[in-house]
Amino acid sequence: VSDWHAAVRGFPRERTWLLPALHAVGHELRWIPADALREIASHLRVPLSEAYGVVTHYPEFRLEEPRKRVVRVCTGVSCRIRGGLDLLKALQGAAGDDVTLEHFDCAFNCSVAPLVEVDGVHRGRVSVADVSAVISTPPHPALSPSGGEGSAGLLLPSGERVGVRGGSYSELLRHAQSLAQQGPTLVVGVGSCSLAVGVAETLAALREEVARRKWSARIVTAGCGGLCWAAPVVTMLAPDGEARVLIHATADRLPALLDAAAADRHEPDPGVGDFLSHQRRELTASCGLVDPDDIADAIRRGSYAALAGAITGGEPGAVIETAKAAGLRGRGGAYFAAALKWEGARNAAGSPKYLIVNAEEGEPGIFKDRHLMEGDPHRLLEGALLAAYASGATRVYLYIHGEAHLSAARMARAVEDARRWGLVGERILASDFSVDVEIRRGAGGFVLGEETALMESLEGRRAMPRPKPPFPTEAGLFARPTVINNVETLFAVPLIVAHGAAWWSALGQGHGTKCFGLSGHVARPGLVEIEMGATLRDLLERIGGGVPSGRALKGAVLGGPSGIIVPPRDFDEPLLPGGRVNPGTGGVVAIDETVAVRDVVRTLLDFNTRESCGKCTPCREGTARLRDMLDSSGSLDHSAVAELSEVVRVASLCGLGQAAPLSILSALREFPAELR
Amino acid sequence: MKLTIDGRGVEVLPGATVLDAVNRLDIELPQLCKDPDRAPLGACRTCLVHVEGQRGLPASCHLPARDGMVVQTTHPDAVKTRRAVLDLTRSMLSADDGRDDFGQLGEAASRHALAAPGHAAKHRFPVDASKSFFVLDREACILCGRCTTACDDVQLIGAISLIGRGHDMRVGVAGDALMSSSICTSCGQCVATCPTGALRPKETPAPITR
Repeated sequence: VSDWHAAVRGFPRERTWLLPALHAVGHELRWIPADALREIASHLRVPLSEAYGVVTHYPEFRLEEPRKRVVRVCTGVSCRIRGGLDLLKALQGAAGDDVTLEHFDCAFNCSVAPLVEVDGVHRGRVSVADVSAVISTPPHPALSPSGGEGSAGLLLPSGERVGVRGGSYSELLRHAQSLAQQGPTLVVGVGSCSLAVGVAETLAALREEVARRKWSARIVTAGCGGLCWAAPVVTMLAPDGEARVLIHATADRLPALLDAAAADRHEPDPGVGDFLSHQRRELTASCGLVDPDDIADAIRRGSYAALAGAITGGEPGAVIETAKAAGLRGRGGAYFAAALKWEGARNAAGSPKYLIVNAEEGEPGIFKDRHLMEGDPHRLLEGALLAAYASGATRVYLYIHGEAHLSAARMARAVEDARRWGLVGERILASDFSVDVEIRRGAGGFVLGEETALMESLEGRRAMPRPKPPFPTEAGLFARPTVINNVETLFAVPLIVAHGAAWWSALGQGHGTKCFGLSGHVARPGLVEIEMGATLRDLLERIGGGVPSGRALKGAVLGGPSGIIVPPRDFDEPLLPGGRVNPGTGGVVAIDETVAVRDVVRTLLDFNTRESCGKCTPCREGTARLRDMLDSSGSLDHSAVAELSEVVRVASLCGLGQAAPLSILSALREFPAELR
Repeated sequence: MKLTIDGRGVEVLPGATVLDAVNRLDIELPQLCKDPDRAPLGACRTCLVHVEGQRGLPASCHLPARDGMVVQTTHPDAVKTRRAVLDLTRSMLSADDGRDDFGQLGEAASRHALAAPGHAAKHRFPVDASKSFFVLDREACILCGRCTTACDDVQLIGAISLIGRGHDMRVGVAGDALMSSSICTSCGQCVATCPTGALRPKETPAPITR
């Protein structure tokens, strides 16, 4: 018997809880029946028609009951060019009457494409030959089949849960050090990517093998270290620091790999060195090493030291000045100076002040923020606390994508542990600084990438951008001064505060480092961090290892549906904000010579058309008309397409609408022959 | 604050928008989603203007007036883009069934020499005449959001809402049911603010003859 009634009644009777209440019902029933919507609306005192307006606005809420099983095939660019459409076709013939078969825009797990989601569980690198077997094989028991909290079952209670509330930082550090264990470690990279390709089975097999061999090694479940292409990855860490990286360590290959390593016959894969040596891993330094569920491990690796230093200094303005001097710019894609937002909110009248962490990563082809949260959640939390300290915010909303279950589970654990350790809540680190942190989940709205739309969503409304001014720093969430920062931006903050502004501005021609999700036709898809000013050739060839088939690259989709398609002749241009090739949000999908640019553009444009929030006319109507032009059978009128694209770009209300036609404009410019 | 608009000087108080200044001079500029009594929505994108020294074509309804601003409503770029947006808007509507002028949209379209819509209609909605005093005719609706704002923010009723997203967006009530199923009180605020006559009074009944 489902208890969604109790769940709904448990929410405070305020509109801001509309999305959480819808999620609660959706989690229990897998869909939102009309009577549940009525009950939610009545409990939260939201007019029913408006609640209906909200529930129909977000793609993740189902208003029709699905069949017993739900199978979804990803047909985003990364998956479709690696066989996603073939999988869909194969399943259309094979799926039984008890299956609701759908395709969706992106699973945000592009590095293990092509991907099929079976009852909420991702299955990556699926081939047409075994797709039927894959959907009929039950997932590992640790992976919740309900699709609710995803892989929360794998979150091992490995860390110390007893806090030292009210202590100073040095007490915390001492306590964390007292919990340290010596001896060899086996680090398993457990991320969304590896979970889709069998790391749960690897983990179970590793536990058996270690027991059977009577090894004293500890097993640590970390996040993904970026080597998604090699997943599952097990790293053997000797006490002297020597590391052996076992790649493609599936359960069946694991015994042989362990035998070889134990007999000193481990042969390191040259791809691992090539993949890592051309990167500059600063933000991601601990990803794949630190146990994301163990706050003591994070503290021993330096987490919260920068926060402690800033609080002891007692000057929020000093944090602002440091970030300003470093030139830290927003990693959501707009590259606006982060410190100016903090300063604006600090100087604005009104209280309370809010900090929102935009972790609603919703642009198909981009998955870097998920990796960061899964890999090193305490670093994000520390960055958010520093930003809150700088801007005078007393409440932090961590707004996480509705389907990023592992990110949300790890962040929730991090926040809970930080609260126990006196790092979140009242009088942080025994100082006068108090801030609370709350996690909210999105519901798949691409438009939530727009800051004011996200604020509307937090208020329980349709995610539609507000006209500016007022700007969020003056009147944002609940009309109070609000700062909104992207996950990756906040990841850089503890490092900048710890190492100083000069350290950051010496990197990447003054722009620091940048994370990219690398996928498509590359040999080594994964999560990459490079200095700004590096080139697409660095990403695609030196790091990504080129096209596995040996075919030539036709181009690279840079920045998802708001991005552009870059031709090979621009692969040596430096990736710099404001430069000729703008790095955008941080997603690169390589397309080889067999891919039709027209299909890529059509996919991106179709997404922009369906996911337009609908508020302003140029974006809502213009993108649909552009899609019609691409779909029409006759020859494409380039000047008409360019003219209408220009209207959408210039006249749309928000940045997402303005960016919607960029992909087709770039294709017209660089690949005119493909758009006949 | 003194501004220059289309070569004419105008003075407005701090807090005013450029559109306020435009209206003060009685310059004809489309402003389909702007209710004169309410905050700007920024949805219809037809009040685009050119501002000297500023990139792009900002919507004047949510552009704060600044002292010394030089604004052109008749700049060729602004006119061209505004005309294209009006065309997209006009293409949402169908002109048969006695719908012909579309109120403010019709006036703006004819001022911009838009005879026929440049794009084919994409949908067909039946007229919802379930309420006694007015109709909801989605074939004349440009989704500006004035009616839903009036219902929610002004009357605090919330009988109607914007529903769906993207190109499927529509004005309606819970469950996409008829207006009469909603909590609408027929207050008339939505009808009063609708710029195109999508929400319009029913014909006055003939006087009763004894």
